[in-house]
Amino acid sequence: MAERYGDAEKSDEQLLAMHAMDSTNRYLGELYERYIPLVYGLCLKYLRNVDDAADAVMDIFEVLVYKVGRYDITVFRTWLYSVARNHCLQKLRRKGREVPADDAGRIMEYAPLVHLLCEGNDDAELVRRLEECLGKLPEKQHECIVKFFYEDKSYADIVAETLYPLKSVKSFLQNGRRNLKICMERGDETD
Amino acid sequence: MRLIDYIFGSRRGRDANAVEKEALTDPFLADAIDGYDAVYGDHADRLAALGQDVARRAGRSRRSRSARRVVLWVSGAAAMVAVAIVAVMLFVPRESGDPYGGGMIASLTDESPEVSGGAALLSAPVPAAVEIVERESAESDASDRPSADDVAVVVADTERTADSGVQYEVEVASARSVVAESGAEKSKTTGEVAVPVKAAVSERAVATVTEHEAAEVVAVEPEPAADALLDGVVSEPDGVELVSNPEFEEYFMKNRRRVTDADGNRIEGVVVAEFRVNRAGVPSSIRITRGISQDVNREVIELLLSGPRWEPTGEDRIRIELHYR
Repeated sequence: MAERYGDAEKSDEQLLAMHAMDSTNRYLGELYERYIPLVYGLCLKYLRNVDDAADAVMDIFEVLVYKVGRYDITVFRTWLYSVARNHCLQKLRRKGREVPADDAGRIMEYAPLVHLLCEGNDDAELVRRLEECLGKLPEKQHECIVKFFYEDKSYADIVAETLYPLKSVKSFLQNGRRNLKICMERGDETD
Repeated sequence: MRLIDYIFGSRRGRDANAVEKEALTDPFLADAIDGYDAVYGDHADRLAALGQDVARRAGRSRRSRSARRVVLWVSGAAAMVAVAIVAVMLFVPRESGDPYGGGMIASLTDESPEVSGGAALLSAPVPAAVEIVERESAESDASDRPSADDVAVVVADTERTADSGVQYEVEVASARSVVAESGAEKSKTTGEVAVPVKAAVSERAVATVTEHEAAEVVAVEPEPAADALLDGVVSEPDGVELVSNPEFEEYFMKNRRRVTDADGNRIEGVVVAEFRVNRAGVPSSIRITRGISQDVNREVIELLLSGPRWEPTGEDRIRIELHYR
């Protein structure tokens, strides 16, 4: 019936519930500390400045203190990403700076394919089609896809083995995934 | 592998590959990695400093802001009461036998009974006269999280009596949420009256009002039986299912700390807690309907929050009995 958590590590939901009962923000602070590396990195991406990113991390915590009791938060991590990103975008707009494109949609668009490449599938036909499409990829894309997904090599590992620049490795992987997705979808259309 | 280890490590090996694969489907992680890669700086030191700053900021009490709000609301409520009384005394003609003025009372109440004279007014039950403070509650906004800094003066049905010169202490609760419940009659004795609260009351402000004010503005809950009240809440369960959860009870027995009271006497008794279970499996809107002491009641709430997860109950409340022996 219940999922138990050890005394040392409380879940996000438990910390939020304990925060609601407490007169300080210590539980919210404990929760937020878990996500500071993520929030700070995100702020670096959008604000492109170490000082601005650090200020934004603290500003976002103040926003959390205000908002956390007023919203029904199902998954804290997802909600925090939305709050942090919106905060950075507002700052950019106020400064009149260009707002980066939203990659979240594109990332989620490839999620099924990535899952198939990482986890495999019980559907033999699907696996057969994937291997067929892999065989159709350009050589460098095929090489990087295989090393990354099937041999569990990191970007740095692939760079060391192939001597391709890091940007090229990432580009081969991205284009390879796109071509695989197109190939798989074409296979669906002809079935 | 943690993000920090990936960012500041060699980014080689299966663990690094796992982080990179995760970033392909996690926009939060992907954005963070892009940020570290795009901006040069002493990020390790910055992160350490940020952790300390957040901990320092988080340690500050929220109580000062709450206390100010309590004082503000109480002051505002008292001012409104005073203005209303002055208006009554100045502008409304009084009939014999009716010290309050039937017309005025009728105009103040939401659902005034027909008033034909002072005697009828005195004996007729008067519905809630004035709601001094609007409250936010977990139930009203369908949230599983009670709102912070809730302040309310409980206003309930009251039956006017002819007593005079009686002082009523109205407990203004600064609680996570406050339930206003109807009472059949107001207390005729002076004394602290418990305001039903859904969660442990973190602070209280007591406003004393005169009988005149109380009769027109604030109704008082009937004083509950002492043995049932203590620092808990007297609430009549209504169709609330009594459940048992062996997993939680085992956790409770292993983790409870309060075994003796301040005098060293063994704590014995039963604590009855009512709550909903939200979608995350965590008890919410916890109410102690029968308690032993403030410390014990608080311990039960903390154990419910920190213990094993429950099956979500949606809007339904459940009840559990916990025995201290």
